[in-house]
Amino acid sequence: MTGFLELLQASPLATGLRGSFIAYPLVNATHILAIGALVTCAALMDLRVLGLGSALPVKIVLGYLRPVAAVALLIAIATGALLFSVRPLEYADNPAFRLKLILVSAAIANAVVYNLLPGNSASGLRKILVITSLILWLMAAVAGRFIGFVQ
Amino acid sequence: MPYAARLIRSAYAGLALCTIVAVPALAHHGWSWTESGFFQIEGVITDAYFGNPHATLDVDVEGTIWRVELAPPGPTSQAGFTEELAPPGTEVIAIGNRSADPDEPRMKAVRIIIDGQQYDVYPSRAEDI
Repeated sequence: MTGFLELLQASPLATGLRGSFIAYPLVNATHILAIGALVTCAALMDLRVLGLGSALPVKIVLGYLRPVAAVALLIAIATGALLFSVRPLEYADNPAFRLKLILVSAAIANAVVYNLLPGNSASGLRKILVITSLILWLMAAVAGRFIGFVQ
Repeated sequence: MPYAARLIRSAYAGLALCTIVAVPALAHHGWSWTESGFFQIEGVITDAYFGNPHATLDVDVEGTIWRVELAPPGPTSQAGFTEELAPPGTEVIAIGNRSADPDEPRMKAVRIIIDGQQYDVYPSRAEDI
């Protein structure tokens, strides 16, 4: 693992990003925007399943926001990998970063489980998954912000 | 769905545990984690990092390795402080604010002195030294 992280650290992309005055803040901003879009979409879907905004059919809300959330997630992962590559050994040791990875993985797994539920699943179970989704995504965002504040 | 319910319950327990373990560590972004008065260390550079999100030095002070946080690469190089000045083995004085946690060998530097030359990486703060 350390060997892979060292290779990543030595890559031209990481080296360029490490010393750049413009690219790094831009990648950072893109990462934050993607997280904003992702967490907002996830929260809107979760709240709709919980009953908020009942004028809009659940199917339409999920059909509209799910692809946006998926694209935002991919952008967040790609830009996150770039930010990570600048100092991979430091971040791999950072407790907030580790917690964030666990929370994001759990949130993704939770979303996959929700989407695999058979159509006739109990609404109680759906609500538990949706509340879990809200908590996990919000905690992941907060854990991410704490990467710069812990070591 | 007793199995699903049990799975969810253990996931929540795991989550709570992770939070308890991870949250209490101290900060290094900004200045909120430091003491207010200036503080100084003198030692030998063992490692230096000049890059985003901010530069750092590892400094051996009588056997303890201190992590010295500097500014982002832009202000650091504007202060005239560059990688060539800080190879391992270089004697350095760092003036700034130390971690509020007395057990943590970590500080945020405002001024670096190498070979009698001053580099103010946070010039507005360095005025107050």
